Amino acid sequence: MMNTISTGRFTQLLYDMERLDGESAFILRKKGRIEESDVIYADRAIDRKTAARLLHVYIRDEIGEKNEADITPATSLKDLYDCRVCAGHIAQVYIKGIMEPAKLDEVYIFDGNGLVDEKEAYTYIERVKDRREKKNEQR
Amino acid sequence: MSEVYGNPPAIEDASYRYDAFDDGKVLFGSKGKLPPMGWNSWNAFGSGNTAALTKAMVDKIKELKLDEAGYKYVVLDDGCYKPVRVDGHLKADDVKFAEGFFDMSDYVHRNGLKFGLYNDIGSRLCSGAEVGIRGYEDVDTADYMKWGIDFIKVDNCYNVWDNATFSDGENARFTFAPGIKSISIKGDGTDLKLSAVRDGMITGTRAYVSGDCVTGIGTYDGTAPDAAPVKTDMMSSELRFDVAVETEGDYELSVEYATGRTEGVGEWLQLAVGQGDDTRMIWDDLLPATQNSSSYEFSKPFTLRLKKGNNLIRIMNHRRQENTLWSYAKIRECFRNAAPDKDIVFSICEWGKTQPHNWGYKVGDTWRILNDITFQVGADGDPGHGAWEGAYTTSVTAQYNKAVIMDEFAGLDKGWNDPDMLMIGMDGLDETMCKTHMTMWCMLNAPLMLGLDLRKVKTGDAIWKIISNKEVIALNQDALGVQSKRIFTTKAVKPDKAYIRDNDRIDVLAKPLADGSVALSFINVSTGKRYDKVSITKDLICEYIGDKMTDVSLFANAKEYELTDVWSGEKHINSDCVFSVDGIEAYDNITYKITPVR
Repeated sequence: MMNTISTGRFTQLLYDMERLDGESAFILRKKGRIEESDVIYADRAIDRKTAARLLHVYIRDEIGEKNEADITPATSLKDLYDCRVCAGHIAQVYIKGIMEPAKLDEVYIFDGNGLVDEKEAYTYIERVKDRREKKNEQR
Repeated sequence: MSEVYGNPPAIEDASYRYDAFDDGKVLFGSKGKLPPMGWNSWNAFGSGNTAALTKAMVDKIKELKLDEAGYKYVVLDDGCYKPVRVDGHLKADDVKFAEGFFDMSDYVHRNGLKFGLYNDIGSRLCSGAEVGIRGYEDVDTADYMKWGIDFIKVDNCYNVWDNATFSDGENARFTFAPGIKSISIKGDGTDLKLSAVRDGMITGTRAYVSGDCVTGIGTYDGTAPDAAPVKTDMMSSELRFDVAVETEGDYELSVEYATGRTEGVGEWLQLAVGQGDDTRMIWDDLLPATQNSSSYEFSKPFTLRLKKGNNLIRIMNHRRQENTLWSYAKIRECFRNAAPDKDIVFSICEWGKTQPHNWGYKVGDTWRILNDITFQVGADGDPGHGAWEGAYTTSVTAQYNKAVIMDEFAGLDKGWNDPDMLMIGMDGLDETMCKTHMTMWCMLNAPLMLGLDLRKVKTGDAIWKIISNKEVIALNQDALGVQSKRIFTTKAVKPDKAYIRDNDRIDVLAKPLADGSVALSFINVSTGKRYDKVSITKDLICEYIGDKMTDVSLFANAKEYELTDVWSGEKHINSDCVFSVDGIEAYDNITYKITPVR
C-alpha cells in the first residue's frame, strides 16, 4: 500500500518550513511559489501534477534555473498534453530528471492525477535541493 | 463528475440539434463584430498573473499607444480566482487580486479599455480550481455583469458530459453510440432484420466497420491536428438504413448493440427517422449497459411511425457537439437574462474538440480550433517559449495549417476561427517569424490577443513595430470582414481545401477588402529559404474570392494596380496584372495591398 504525503507536508519539506501556516503560506503565495489551493487542500495527498508544479516553480524561481527550451523529449509522455495548465511544469521536471514517468508499461505516461509516494517525494525534494547546492557552489 | 451533475440535458429545442447546425440561426448574441484585439494574461504569466502585473500591462498599452492600434480588451485568464466558491459565488484570488475584480475592471475601464474574464463550462477550471460555471450559470453571469466585464473566454476542462481534459474518461459513454450489429423492425406484416455491415450505410468518416458490427458512431475529437476541418457531415458519423414498408403505421424497432465507456464506443443512442426539418427523434438517451463492449444484446423495442414507401432510419450520437453547444448556450442565455442590453464578446475555448466551426456561430464570437499554441507559457521574468513548427498543436504553423482552410466557416455573420493567442515576444520566435505570425493571424481574421509581458516593449523597437503595424492590423480589422482564402500553394492542387502539414512550401493567401482592394500574402511556411518564383494572376484571385469582393469587375478589368508592401510601406505600380515573388527567405512573408487604379 502506498504511503502518500500531503501537499502541505510536501511544501514544508521543499521550503524547509516548520509548518505551512497563515503567515508563511501568505509569503509563499505573495512570491508566486504556491497557489491558494495548496493551502486550502494542504491536508490532501499530493498528486503528481501538483508536485510537478511546486518542484518546477522552485527550481525556476527559487534556484533561478532557466527552463529547457526544447521540450520535445517530454513528448514521449503520452499524456503530456492532457493537462494544458501543468504540461509546462511536467515537461521541465521530466527533462531535468527530477520526476520520472509513472508507468513504463508499453507507453510512457506521467499520470498527473496519480498520487505521490512518500519515498518518491523525498527523492524529488532531494534532487532539487542538490541542484540548489550545486548552483550555490557555482556562485 | 456525471454523478454530481447528472446526465446530459434533454434537448427540447431543435435549434440546438446537429440537423440545425447549418441553418444559420443565431441563438444568442449579436453578429457583425470584427475580430477582438487585446491582451490576455495566459501566454505572458500563466497562473502567476496578478493585479499589479495586469495594471502594468494596462499602463503599457496606453504608453505604447496600442489602444490606438486597436488593442482594447484586457483579459484575465486562468489562475485569477479563489479555488473555491464563497457562499456560492466566484471570488478573486485574495493575494493575486486582493482588491477584487471590480477594482481591476474599474482600472481597465478608467484607462479607456475593456475588461475580460475567464471561466469553464465544466465543474472546474483547467487549473483545478473548483469554480467551473456548470450549475452556476445564472449566479456567475450576474456577478460578471456587476464586475462590468466586456469579454469572457470559456474553457472546456472537466466537461461533465464529454471526456474532455480532466473529465472522467468514462464520460465518453455520453458522446458515442454503442457498437451496432443489427436492427430489427416488426409490424403490420413486416419482419426485417438488417445487418449494420451489410445493409447499413455509414455517413462521414468517424464510424467504421469492425468485424460484423459498426463502431465509432459519433464525432471526431478535433483537439489534435489530425481531425481536419471539413463539412459537418464528414466529422460526425451516423449509421443509416433505408427501410421500405408497404403501409403507413407504427412499427417496433430494436437495436442489437454493445456498450462501452471509451472514445469511440458509448452508451448513448440517438435514434431518428428522417432528416432536416422532417426529423423525428425517437430516442435520445442512454441504453442499459451490456456486459462488455463485445457482448451484444437487443434493446427494448422503440415504437416509430413509418410512412408508406422509403424511410430513412438514423442511428447516431451527435451529443458531443450538442451537449457542448447546450453548455455554451446556457451561459449566453444567462448573460442575456442578467443584462439584456449588454453584448459581450464570447470566446469559445473548447480547443476544436467538438468541431465548433460547425456550431460556434450560434452562440459565440470566436472559437478555438485546436489545443493550445504553447504549453511553455511565461512567468514574471520568464517570457515563455513559442515554436515555429512542432509535431502537435504547439506552434505557429500547426495552428495556421488548420485555420488557413477554415475560411468558409468564418465571417461577420458567424464569428471567427481562433488559432489561439499570439506568441510574439516569446523565446523561440525571431523577428521574421513574429512578422509572419502577425501577418498570418491578420490575414486569417483571427483574434489578435497579445500574450507577452509588455514591460519588455519600447516604442519603436522591433516587437512594437510588429504588433502596432497599422497597415497589417487594418487587414484584420477590415470592415468587409472576410477571412483570406489560400488560392495557391506549392504543395497541393486544391489550395483552399487541402489540409497540408508538410511545412516545406510557399502559400499565397488572398483577402478581399472593403475599399475594393485585395490583400495578397506570399508566405514561406518552411524553415529554409525557398527559391520558387510564384506568380498569381488577377484571374486566379477573382476565381477564388470574386464572390466576396465588393466590385469584382472593377478589380478584374483594371489595367493598373497600386501595390503597397504592408511591411515596408513601399509602393509601386503593376500593369501586367500578374503579381509575383521570386524566392522568399525562411519564415518570411511578402504581403501587398493591391488597389486597382484605372
